[in-house]
Amino acid sequence: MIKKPEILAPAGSLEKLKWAIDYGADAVYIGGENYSLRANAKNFTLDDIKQGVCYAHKKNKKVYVTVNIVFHDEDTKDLAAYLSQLQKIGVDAIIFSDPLVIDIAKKYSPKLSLHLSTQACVLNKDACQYYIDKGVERIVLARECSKEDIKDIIENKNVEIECFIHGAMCSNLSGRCVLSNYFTNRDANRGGCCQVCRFNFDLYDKNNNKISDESNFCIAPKDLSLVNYIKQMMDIGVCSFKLEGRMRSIYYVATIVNVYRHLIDMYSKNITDNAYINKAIKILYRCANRDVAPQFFDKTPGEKQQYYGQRKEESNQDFLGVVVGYDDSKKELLIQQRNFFKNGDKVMIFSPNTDDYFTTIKYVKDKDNNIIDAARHPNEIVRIPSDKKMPINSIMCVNFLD
Amino acid sequence: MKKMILKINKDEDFLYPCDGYILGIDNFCICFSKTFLVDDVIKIKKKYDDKKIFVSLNRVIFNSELSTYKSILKKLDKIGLDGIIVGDVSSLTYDLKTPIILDQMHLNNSSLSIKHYHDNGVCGIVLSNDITLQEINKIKDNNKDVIMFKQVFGMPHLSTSVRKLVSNYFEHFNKKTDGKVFKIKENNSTISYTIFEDYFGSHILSNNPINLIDKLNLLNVDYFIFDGFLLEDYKWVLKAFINNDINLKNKIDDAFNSNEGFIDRKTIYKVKNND
Repeated sequence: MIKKPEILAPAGSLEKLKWAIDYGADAVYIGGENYSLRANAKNFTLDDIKQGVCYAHKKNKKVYVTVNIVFHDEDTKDLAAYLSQLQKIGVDAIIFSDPLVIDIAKKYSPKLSLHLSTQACVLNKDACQYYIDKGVERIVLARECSKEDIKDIIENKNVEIECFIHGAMCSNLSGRCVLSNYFTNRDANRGGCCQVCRFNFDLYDKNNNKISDESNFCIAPKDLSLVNYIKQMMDIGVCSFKLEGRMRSIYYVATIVNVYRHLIDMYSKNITDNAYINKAIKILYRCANRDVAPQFFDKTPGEKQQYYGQRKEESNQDFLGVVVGYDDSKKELLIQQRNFFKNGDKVMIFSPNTDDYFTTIKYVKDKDNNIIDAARHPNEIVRIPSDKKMPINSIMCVNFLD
Repeated sequence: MKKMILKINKDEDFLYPCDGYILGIDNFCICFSKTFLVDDVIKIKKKYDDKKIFVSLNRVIFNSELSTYKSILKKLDKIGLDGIIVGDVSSLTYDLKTPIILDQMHLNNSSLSIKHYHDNGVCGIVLSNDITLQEINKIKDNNKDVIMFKQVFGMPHLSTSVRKLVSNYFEHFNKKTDGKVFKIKENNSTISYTIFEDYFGSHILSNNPINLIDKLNLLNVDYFIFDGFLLEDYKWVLKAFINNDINLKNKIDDAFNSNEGFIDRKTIYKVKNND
């Protein structure tokens, strides 16, 4: 058996935290109402954090809280009290980038484990050593590290190494980008990033002659996916595999966690199931609806790892519903609708601990057992026939695998 | 006494009046038009012995570069420089005797962050351009023993990517160029930004230089940094800064389309109420 790395999933809300854990995450990272780089997300109150930690710990899972802004003086006033609260709640670690957090945590909340955020942009083993000497237990390496860099750092430094394996990427070095500050006055390093690297531009030469056509100059990178390198990442000893996406939907979180859970479990048993790997690649690609690349892991990204103004980010309507019950007498699944579906649609239903179930919807009934032509209304409960009883909170989505 | 130091971007810069120079070290600095080897630095240190001499290795360092990086730092450490400006904290583990000045571009925006690094061997900080005058002065009040550097003129750095963002574009559309420096502009916007590539990757700068000539008396820092990177005909501006001639502020702004950046303007980060 190969040692299993941790799957660390994003959780933008208490609901997403539960989905991530139920679908196989070993740990989740969340943001509090302050000090997190997603300042405009619906972040966790202290009470939410307490509930999340309670839920996770009952299932022997971990919760890390991001405290990863670059602080200004005005932000530091209540930090000590906040960290003390996190320690009291029993969070498993905080993820920070500003070194002042080390000093405050040591003084006021010494039991908190310290994980260094990728925002600190650590690329080398001597920079790791600086933070190891300060008591940091885990370092999230910069996404610009190659496989050789990661391997050398792990071999030479006695610290846990966490790496991003999936999700959106910054175009620029983390922490070294304030495009948002200048374009919109929103502070990138305090959670206000407006993602200028997703904008389209016109490109001019220095004499102001326009070079680009139809604003097709863009610096956006394709998303990161190391789905083809999971085994290598496990072999070199990366201890935590991080998934990006605190702002993403429960469908996205559950799907990618589920896929990577299967892959890691498979590799840890020294099995290579190519059919599942191919299926996983299809699911991951479809889930985000964006192109992916291994980015810096295997080489410096070039022309093909970047977008040029035609970036597509279509709304994904694959998520059809959630299983909320099963009527044994009628052999019907009760589905809470999330997107339109109808009689004749081919669907896939998956859950953490069962085989995926594929079926074609033969009819749709409303909750009062009346046949309807389609499930049209968000959150309405409908019935579909199913010989198989799927667990509550299974996800029904479009079967795009056929 | 506050001192004015000049980033050397061309040979002619050595002829300009100032209290000292910042020399970019070859292959380990970004946003310098001219860079130097260790032997060059030794000669310059001897030649300009009345000037403060700082060197800059102001970027993050890849794991594969560490041995060369460390070796260069050790050589520079023997020269008797007034300071070594570094962008990567790995250098703080090398037990260097020369004063270490940390320049992490957009980090270290608070008194406690700077205190942390001072407690761990850093002598000076290049303050970011992203904080206000009030914040800068409070930081200095809280860290009187830390040598503070602040850019007062020049194009502010906005971002650095390891990717060759412009070359990739030309390759993708099969276009050709001899240019090195470009501008980007949002559709229908009048504001442009400078983008250029070098050995390290791609960098974006504001097209509007910072001009803090009328803040020189108010800024409680030890060194002012004057940077003519990608600019031309700035000798008269440097003289104006050295003479603290604030009457030339508008003339400078007109000539360079400069502004005061964030010195009197706070950034925001919460743009909506989530309650």
